Amino acid sequence: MVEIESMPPPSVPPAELEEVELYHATNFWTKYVFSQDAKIIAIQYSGVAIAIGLVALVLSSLIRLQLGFPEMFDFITAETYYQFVTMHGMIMVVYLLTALFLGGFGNYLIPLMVGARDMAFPYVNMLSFWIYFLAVLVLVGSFFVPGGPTGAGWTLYPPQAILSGTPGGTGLGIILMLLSLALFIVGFTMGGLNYVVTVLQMRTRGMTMMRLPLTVWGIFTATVLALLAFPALLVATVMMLFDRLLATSFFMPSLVEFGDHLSYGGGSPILFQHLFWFFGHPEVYIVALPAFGIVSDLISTHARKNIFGYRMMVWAIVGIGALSFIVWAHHMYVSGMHPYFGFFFATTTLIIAVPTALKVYNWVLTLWNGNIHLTTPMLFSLGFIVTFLNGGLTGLFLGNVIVDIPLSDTMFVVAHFHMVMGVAPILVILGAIYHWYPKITGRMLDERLGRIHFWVTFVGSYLIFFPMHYVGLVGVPRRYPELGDAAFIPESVASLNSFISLAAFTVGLAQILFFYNLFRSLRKGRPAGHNPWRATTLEWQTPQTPPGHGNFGQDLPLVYRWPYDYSVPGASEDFLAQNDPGPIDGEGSA
Amino acid sequence: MGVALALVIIVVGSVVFHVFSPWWWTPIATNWVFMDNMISLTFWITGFVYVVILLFVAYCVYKFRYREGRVAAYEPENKKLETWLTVLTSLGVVALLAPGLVVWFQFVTVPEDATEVEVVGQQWSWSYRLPGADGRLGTADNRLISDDNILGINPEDPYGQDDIVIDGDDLHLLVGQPVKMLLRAVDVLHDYYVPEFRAKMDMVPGMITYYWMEPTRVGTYDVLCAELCGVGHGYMSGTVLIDTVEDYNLWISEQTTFAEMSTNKEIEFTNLGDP
Amino acid sequence: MTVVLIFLAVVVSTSIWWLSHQRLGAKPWLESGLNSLDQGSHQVSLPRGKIGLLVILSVVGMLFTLFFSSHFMRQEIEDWRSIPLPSMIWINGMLLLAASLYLQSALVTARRQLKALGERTQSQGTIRNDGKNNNSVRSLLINACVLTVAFLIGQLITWYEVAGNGFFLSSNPSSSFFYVLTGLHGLHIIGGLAVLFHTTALARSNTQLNKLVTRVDVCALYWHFLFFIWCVMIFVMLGWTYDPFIELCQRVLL
Repeated sequence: MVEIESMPPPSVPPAELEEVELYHATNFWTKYVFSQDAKIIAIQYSGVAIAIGLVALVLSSLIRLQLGFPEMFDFITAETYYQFVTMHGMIMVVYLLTALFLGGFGNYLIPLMVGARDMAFPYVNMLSFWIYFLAVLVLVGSFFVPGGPTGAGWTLYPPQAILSGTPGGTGLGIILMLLSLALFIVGFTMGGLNYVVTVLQMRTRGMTMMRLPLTVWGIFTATVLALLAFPALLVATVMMLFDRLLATSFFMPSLVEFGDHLSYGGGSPILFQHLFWFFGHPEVYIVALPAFGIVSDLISTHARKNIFGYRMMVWAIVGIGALSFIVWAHHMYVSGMHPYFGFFFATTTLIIAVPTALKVYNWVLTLWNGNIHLTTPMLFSLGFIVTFLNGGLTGLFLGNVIVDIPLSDTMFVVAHFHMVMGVAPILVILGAIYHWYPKITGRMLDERLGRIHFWVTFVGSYLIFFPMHYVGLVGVPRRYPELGDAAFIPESVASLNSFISLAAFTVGLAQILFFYNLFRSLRKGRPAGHNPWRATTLEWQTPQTPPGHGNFGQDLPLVYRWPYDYSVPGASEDFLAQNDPGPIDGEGSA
Repeated sequence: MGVALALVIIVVGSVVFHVFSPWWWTPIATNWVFMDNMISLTFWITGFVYVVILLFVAYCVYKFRYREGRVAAYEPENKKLETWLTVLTSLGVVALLAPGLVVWFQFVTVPEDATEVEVVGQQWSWSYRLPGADGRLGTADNRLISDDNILGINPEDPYGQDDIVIDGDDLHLLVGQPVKMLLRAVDVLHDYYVPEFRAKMDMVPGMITYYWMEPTRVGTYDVLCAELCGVGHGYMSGTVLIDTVEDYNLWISEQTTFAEMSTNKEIEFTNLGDP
Repeated sequence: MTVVLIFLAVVVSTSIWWLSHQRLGAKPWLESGLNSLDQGSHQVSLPRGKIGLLVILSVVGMLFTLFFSSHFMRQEIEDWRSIPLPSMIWINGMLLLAASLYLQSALVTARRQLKALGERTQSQGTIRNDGKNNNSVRSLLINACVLTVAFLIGQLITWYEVAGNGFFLSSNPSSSFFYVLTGLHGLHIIGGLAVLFHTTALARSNTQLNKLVTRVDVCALYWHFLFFIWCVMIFVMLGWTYDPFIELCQRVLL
């Protein structure tokens, strides 16, 4: 090691782009309510998303109550069952997962990780949260209108979504749902604008795209997807609103409803499905890609080892993002669309499996020869690998068009998407909260409680959804309030359903532990210091913890290396921060 | 140690569950055994991958857990390994996709000798129409539906006159006879699903969709709707029977045609007028 | 949906072009230390507002492309009857084009003034930005505003005329699309107008000239883009589309 004498610090040439002046909030309202600070906005998004997510969790318990113990509860009728199923699905996918990953994690982590003081357009960012909040209020409002919320399924297929045979179809339920979605899309375009422009424009000096942590790559690509995919949902929403309110026939064919010929004619229900799934498939990657990025960073930090194959990981994220736009009709194999589409979409769907598989290999290979600390974030990352692998592999069943024919609309599909989109990303979210809580609050969450929370949640969720695949294999359809007395269903399926429900209640209750931990640790948690996990990325190198307004104090950090310099041979510590210049002897390589 | 063990238990438990699971598909009643074979093939390939990767993870968690003084390796990438993994994965994908697409081609190619049966779904029951003696279904349209003409059969089409209409009762099909199921809906999306048939397809109002199959096993089977169609979706059940030739012919002879239905209605109507 | 895929292809190829300049093939673990501080630190050298607008334009473009795609898909169902469009739309088109041209002219003028100011600053040291310079820019902007408002009024008149011919929102699919498409386009114009009014007001005071240039640049680009959308929209609604292309879509989709 070259002895570092009193050499003058190497001269740093002046920056190319001048720094833009940061606004400063003055009173309580502009500091904490209508805040333009991305960190506050992140917490606002996360709070609202988690709150509405808990509502959806309660709804899922009601669903399992009905499926596990049918006819025990009078208030769960077919109408209310469909309302529960619809609202649970829509809230979870859109209002919880998308909002939390992009609005919550994106807002907090992107400026910090790229070395910026805040987002590119802070005022617009602030507006985006309040529009999201309004969208949530409108959605919640639909619970209280006559007729209740819509029961059309989260996929909202016409014609049934706006007809009287469906709860909320001819009432306010469907209208409020559609309006809420439109608001959400507008708000998220404003937010997404920020995330994209900040990553493109506001990286600190030395932070090339290929030195970005995978968390940022994941959220960035997901945002690009969101900006291009949500318009499809907006188009579908607008057209359906017109059909419902103004008697147009975008999606409504000539039909006879309970003996009455309606005035609609010539519309195409399949057009809706194309538009919806053109949005819907990228949407699942909008949820998955941030999870991929975050888990890469969690595994890398807690195994003290660089992520294996960083370049491949970046290409895979970008490739998956691009491919996600040409696979949508694998949700429509039984829709009645032209059969030749099946060939095309089955091919593209199975192609997208390849970069996804490569990511799984790389996570696993990061563990190989690592120095694995089994902290709570690492446990949740391992849980992610198990459940994502499971869910991804069952996707190979459903993506292959001929295998999808017998399995579509059965509980196999429900099990698949819960495992891959519900359990896996949620495990990442929980792990990420354990990981970044010390940064946000300055205190550690309790490890012991964390472990108990992890094991109950992980094993419990596995016990819910793994057996559910077999219920679907038997042939039990989805969106059925009860099994009924169909001859092909053995008695034992009812027992299996009850077991699954009990597992579900257990997992739901276990989250109480988590919230207790969250609130208790605010006061009683062990003080964390500025970098308790000894991580390399920039958010851990702020002068203050929690980071103050402007994030980095007087001077923005200068970045000298990629984010995965863990256990670098010859280094004195097992990590080198991104803004660590390293030995000042003019050496260029690690 | 505990974590690695837990992972192994999960893997082994999942395999054991799969092997001993009483919950498997219902015995098939049509020619689409290929679908079952494809499911089995997919289980083998994905099961193998699942077990191998998870056992490897368990091994890593055990062998490379944190110990004082341990230093992780520094291995940013390994081009050769990554290339091999890409190639192997692609091969696995092709192994699933190729046979799958071959069977799909069979599924969308209706054989020449298939008869036609029309299934009409509505909120919340099933009706059927058979081509009758002339072997052809008449044209039909939702706009022609009325109380007298529940399936909207075109009264001006001569082929439609001898069509057999089954309103809400059971459907019978002939064993060993390939049949193209023509699917129509009157109001919203439905899906004609019989688990033992394996095949299914949505019916869309304003369109005629289809699938074909050849029943191979005599028996009585439940029909379920497999596309959310309102509050009655879970209760929209029906029955379909696969008959031998004798039973089928007997059943056919007992059914009414569209012409007879219309005449009966006319007679009813005129009778009402008589004092 | 082919239309959508073409639009996506444009966006994707732009992204690929940009990404290829980010040296995605680099091995970042080999490039540490001070030497690489500014190497490859390719910030996009456009003002933030312009990048923001380009993102917005891809979203808006996607939105309209999807609507056009739906229009094509709906067109092939046999109950389609294209509604006749009143000749007023051509006048509206001229108004919007004129507004675009005034905005472009404002941009050119402002840029020229900025360049001149830059040269004067270099030769004489710092000089206070003279509010007088902005007057010519301001009058061009005001013209653009007036013409755009006239365009909106013209669109409303068109609606009135179409309704007068007996075609209302739910009369037939073609009229549904007409009202929805023109209404959506109008809403986007109104949104842009809000920004344009703000920019025009700004052109009066002692604004920094470079900030004004960015704002005018953004407005001009937005107007050109909406004019382009308007042209495509009219062509689609008049059925002035390339028939073999439509036939291909029809054969594949049904």
